[in-house]
Amino acid sequence: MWDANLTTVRGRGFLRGVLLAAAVLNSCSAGAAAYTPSSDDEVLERLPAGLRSSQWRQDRAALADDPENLSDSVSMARSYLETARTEGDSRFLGYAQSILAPWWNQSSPPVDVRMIRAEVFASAFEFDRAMAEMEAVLASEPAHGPALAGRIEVFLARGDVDGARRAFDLAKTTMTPRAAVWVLSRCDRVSPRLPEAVASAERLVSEMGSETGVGERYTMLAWLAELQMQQGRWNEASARFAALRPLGKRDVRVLALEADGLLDHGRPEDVVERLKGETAHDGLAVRLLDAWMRRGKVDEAEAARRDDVRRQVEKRLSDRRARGDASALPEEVRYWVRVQPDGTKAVACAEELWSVRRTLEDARRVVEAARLGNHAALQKAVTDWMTRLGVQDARLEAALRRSEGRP
Amino acid sequence: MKRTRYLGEDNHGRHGTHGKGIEELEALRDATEKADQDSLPLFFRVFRAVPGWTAFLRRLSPAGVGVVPLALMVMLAMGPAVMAHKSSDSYLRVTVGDARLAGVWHLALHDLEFAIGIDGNENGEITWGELKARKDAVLDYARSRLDLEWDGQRLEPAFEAELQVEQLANGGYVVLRWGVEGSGPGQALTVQNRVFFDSNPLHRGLIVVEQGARVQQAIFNPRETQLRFDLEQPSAWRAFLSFTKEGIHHIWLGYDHVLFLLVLLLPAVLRREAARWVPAEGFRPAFWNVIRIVTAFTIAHSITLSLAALGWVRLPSRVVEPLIALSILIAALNNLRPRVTSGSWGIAFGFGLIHGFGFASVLADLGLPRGNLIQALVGFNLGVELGQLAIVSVFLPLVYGVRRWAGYPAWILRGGSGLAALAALNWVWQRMSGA
Repeated sequence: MWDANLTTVRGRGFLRGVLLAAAVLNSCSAGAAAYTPSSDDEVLERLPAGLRSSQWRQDRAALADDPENLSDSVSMARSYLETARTEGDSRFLGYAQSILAPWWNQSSPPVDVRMIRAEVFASAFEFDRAMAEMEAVLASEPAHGPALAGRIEVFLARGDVDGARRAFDLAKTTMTPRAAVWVLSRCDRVSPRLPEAVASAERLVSEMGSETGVGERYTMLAWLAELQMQQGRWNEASARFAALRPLGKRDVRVLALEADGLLDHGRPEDVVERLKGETAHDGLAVRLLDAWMRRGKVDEAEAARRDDVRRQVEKRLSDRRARGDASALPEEVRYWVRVQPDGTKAVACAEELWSVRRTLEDARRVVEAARLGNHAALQKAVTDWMTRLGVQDARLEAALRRSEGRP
Repeated sequence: MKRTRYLGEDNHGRHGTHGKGIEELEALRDATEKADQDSLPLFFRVFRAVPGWTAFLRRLSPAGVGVVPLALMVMLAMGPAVMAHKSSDSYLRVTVGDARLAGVWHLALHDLEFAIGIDGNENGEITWGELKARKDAVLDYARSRLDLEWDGQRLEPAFEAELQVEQLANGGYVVLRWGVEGSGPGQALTVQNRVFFDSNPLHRGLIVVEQGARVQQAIFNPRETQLRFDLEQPSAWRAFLSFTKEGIHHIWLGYDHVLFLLVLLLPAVLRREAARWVPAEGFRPAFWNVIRIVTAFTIAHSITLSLAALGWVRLPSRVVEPLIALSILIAALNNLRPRVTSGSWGIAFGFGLIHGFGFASVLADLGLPRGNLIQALVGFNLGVELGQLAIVSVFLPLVYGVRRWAGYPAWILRGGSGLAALAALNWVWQRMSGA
């Protein structure tokens, strides 16, 4: 138990305290907007797919009867993680954790539990803790494939490509060839070997046959599109995105990627059209707001809708910040740069983001924030990183040119 | 089974280094796939010692195990890139008053669905009808997850039975309200909030405690489910003023006390002569008559109010409340058929003792601040008197002005007393029967 007051809220300082107070007071301002629905049929909440599945309900019920069944528990937890990833819904990370409650807090849990802990930590941008879990797995099982592969991704998330390549050396023996090619292309992407990364992705795509599953097909096409965007080949990337749509899969990350391309190429109308129903996702909603802002003149109804979504998003981001959720930082930076330009807030978020995660997308957002907030040191931190790694990224370079006032 | 040569491994089982290029990888892939043709799929042999993964991956791709390793890599790769959006948050706002504690608690329907199940028809939509059907379960769940204490003394929050809902940025929320009456602020309020932590360890409970202009806030998490909030003790002067206001408030809304007083005051502007009511000759005798009645009532109810508030004398409200109604009836009947004509203050005193117990029950509901007991008691009493004086200051000039009207004894005194007697009779019946 600990005492609580304005300045001692978990030691995170005054700003967080104020944000927290605002979060709660906004959320329950005497229940000002609370109401009693007039109809029993009024829908109050639509549940995500992960909670709709009756199969999952049955599985949960079965687990409730046998909560210490490790194999089934891990299987179910991984299903929740998958939902968290595709739906972008971090609540499922918590559900995954709850399923593994019998082992979660053990100092030496089974390796599967350690791996899920690693994924949950990584999703919350707690990369050191994630890495520690995987190192612990490898200490007991040096050839544990998922742990070896997971380390690569943590290194990449930290922007440590050399570390990722060393981790790949150790991991590649446990990978199937296609997986290895793909992972190597992920490392090459953040280096002067971008052309090789693209070539790898093109080969992976070209080798797909009728036996290739929809999931792999979707992932490889999206990956190629992302690399083509990095090279500035938007038309080809756009064609890949078009090829993805008939596959009927949904991945918020891919939706966001395409929206970024459309925004970069002056097509906010298309972003509005594609994302207008995606206001529940911070990442997509911020892009939708970005598109709305770029459209300029909008009619009264749309302006009202935009303002409503903007308030919701700002509130959600504020809540996530108040609870110390660093995974909201990329969206926060974008919000304060593109939607409600505020150099001070943008720079504060960007500095924090750059201290925990360093991807190409992050680099671009940080450059934009540094430009808005006139923060040369922050921009230099990004350019130094780019120079050291030899990064090639058309969008990032364009952002730097804009920042430096070059054509 | 042939041993699989893994990617990057040479013919002697040695591992290579990175940077071998696509061609080598492809060559190794071809060799690996050839070696695997008649054996178990590569992935399951690689990870067969890991049953959880295997089971999951069978489920993930039962028909195409050849894609599994890549699917796994995708999952590992995208984990850190999850564009998380909706976090699991609940919001609790606690308002600390001098004599009460109130809470507004917002719980997400999504979280409730996972914790206790709301979506009765399992169609993926939670409707108001479904929420209402699970109202008892929701309230039971909430009650079981919240504990409150003043200085180590457990409090019992009373949840309102009616639910409301609110759409917040994170989705639909049920809004629960609770209160703790009869409890003044202690040195510290301890709140234990365990909501959703078992079903979602990443849940966070945001709390704000407001006490006047002072706002404290914190976050509950699975490791810190209990928080202590130091509170400001209301000053003696603030307690006094606060309870004075409560006293005024109560006398104005305590229609039975007011009616009793008015029934006693109706004949105060008259005097009895030869079995007839005649107007008082001047303001002074009428005024002093009123003062005597009001003072007697005040002294009497102050005595019993103090005795009851200090816990020295107790009378159950099932006895006190009918007696209060009976006091009005008797006073009204005395106006209709006068028995006591010159000593109304005696009636006021005698029944005032009963009314004092009624005030005491109100004071108990408000809760007496421990540090400022006497100030609160005096303040409440003073408030009652001020309320009475306000009523008298309006009522006396009115009845004094019309006392000479010939119809006053018949229409105002008897008519008013008759109506009061009927109302009192009704209250006696209601309060005795519990209707």
